[in-house]
Amino acid sequence: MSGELFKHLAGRMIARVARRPLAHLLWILFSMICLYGLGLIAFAALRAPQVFPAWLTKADAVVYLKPGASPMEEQAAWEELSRWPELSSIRIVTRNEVYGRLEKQLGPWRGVLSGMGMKTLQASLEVCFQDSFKEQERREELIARMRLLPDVAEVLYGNGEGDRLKSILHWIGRGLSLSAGALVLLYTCAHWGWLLVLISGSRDELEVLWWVGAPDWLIRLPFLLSSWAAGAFGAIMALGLIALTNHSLETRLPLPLAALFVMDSGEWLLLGSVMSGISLLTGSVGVYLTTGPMRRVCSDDRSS
Amino acid sequence: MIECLQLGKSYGKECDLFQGATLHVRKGESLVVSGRAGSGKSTLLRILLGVECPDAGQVLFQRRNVHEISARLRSALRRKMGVVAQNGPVAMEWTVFDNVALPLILAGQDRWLVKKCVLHQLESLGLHGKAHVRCGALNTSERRRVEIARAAIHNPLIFLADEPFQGLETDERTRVRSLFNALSVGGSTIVILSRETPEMLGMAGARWVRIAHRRFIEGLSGPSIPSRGAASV
Repeated sequence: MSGELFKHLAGRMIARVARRPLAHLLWILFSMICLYGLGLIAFAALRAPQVFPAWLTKADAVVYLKPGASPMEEQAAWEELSRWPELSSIRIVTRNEVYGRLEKQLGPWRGVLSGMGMKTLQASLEVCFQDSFKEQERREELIARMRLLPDVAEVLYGNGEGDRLKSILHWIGRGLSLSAGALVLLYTCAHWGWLLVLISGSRDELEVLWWVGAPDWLIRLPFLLSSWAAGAFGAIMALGLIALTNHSLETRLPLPLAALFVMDSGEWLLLGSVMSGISLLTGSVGVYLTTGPMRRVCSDDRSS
Repeated sequence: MIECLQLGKSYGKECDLFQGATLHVRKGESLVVSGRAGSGKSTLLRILLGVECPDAGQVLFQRRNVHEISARLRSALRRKMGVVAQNGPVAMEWTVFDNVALPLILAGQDRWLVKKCVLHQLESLGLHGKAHVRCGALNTSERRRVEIARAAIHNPLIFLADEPFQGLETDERTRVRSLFNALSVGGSTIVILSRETPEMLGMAGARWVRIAHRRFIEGLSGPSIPSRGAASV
């Protein structure tokens, strides 16, 4: 692209913004709101596995040993349960493993674990029942028997909670996908409408370009660039808004919850890429959708 | 250069234009096509540009049918042409310079050359000092000259103009005529569509074709000369 052509395209874009600054500002704000919504959805999708850890769903029941139980006591409890024919599998989760899981879940706040100390952590045994013992009554009877074992602090229904969690996760996932889809569709339609407004406002320009034989890409490019620029501004502002929201929640909420709103650079990069990608994609789709109206304006004859 | 073969175009029973007329325009030729209002001059321009399809016949530009080539090729063809349409478009928000420079920019010319050519062209059409004025702030005659300047700036292979002198004062007409002469000397093929004859337009040397009785009729000179009645010219 020659320098003059680039200057011409840039001039067309700037002139268009200068002609309707308020309309462009409103469009950027609308882009920001849409992308903010999409950013929040992406953020929720990032955090859902931390709020509902997948490992909770793996066992039918979780037998928590008393805090501070020694490795010997952990081993003894495991050996005792191994003898039960009603159980199909037993997995011991040592305090070290619990520490590791918490560390992973807390993310940047894992430093708080060092203050807690290993003694406060509980080792557990994740057990799965034989199929014939998965009915409610027989399962409750088994769990009641487990509670009577020495060194056992609590027995929780793993599978029941797991099913619920799975279902919650499933519905959350579906809800997030639907919301994201609806927002992308809305944003694309808005892009389309916005470009139609721009086209009708640039009618004479388009006709001039057509008369002098400007290629299609040159006629469309400034519209595409305008869309992308508005999307990029919107994405930057939406990222800033997400940072602001997260910061205010992080400083106001108690620690375990506050940890959820801390994002590392990788997550910011991912979120930024998702938002920029969506704004680029919807802008391109919008320009593609307006090809017909643009051609109609261009070839509209005024010679008679 | 341009061949209109067995051209036919009708707008219902009451308006039947051309009726299989044929017109050949040679390379480097200056041609004035004149006719009454409603005789089909503007329609002919639209057909030559490929905007409108004829109901019969074909238009060949350098032996290629302009209505059968792709949109991309038609764009490329328009880049080789300079077109002044009646009430043709001017980008009102752009400056005079931007409007006139567009064909050169599309041709990928250097900045200094674009500037030099545009300023020279504006000066020759009496628009000196208006280069950085928004076209929306110009009067009708100035806008017309901007359009003519834009169509002629890149020394087009074919210059097509529909009523180019409409709304121009005598001195402005003289300037435009000089521009046409310069184009002709430069080798451009010029086709002017007008209600006036070549003499009235001040283009006495140009070939004259009238649109009368739905046909192209070769005129000899002046409006009083009777037609030779040829259906094909």
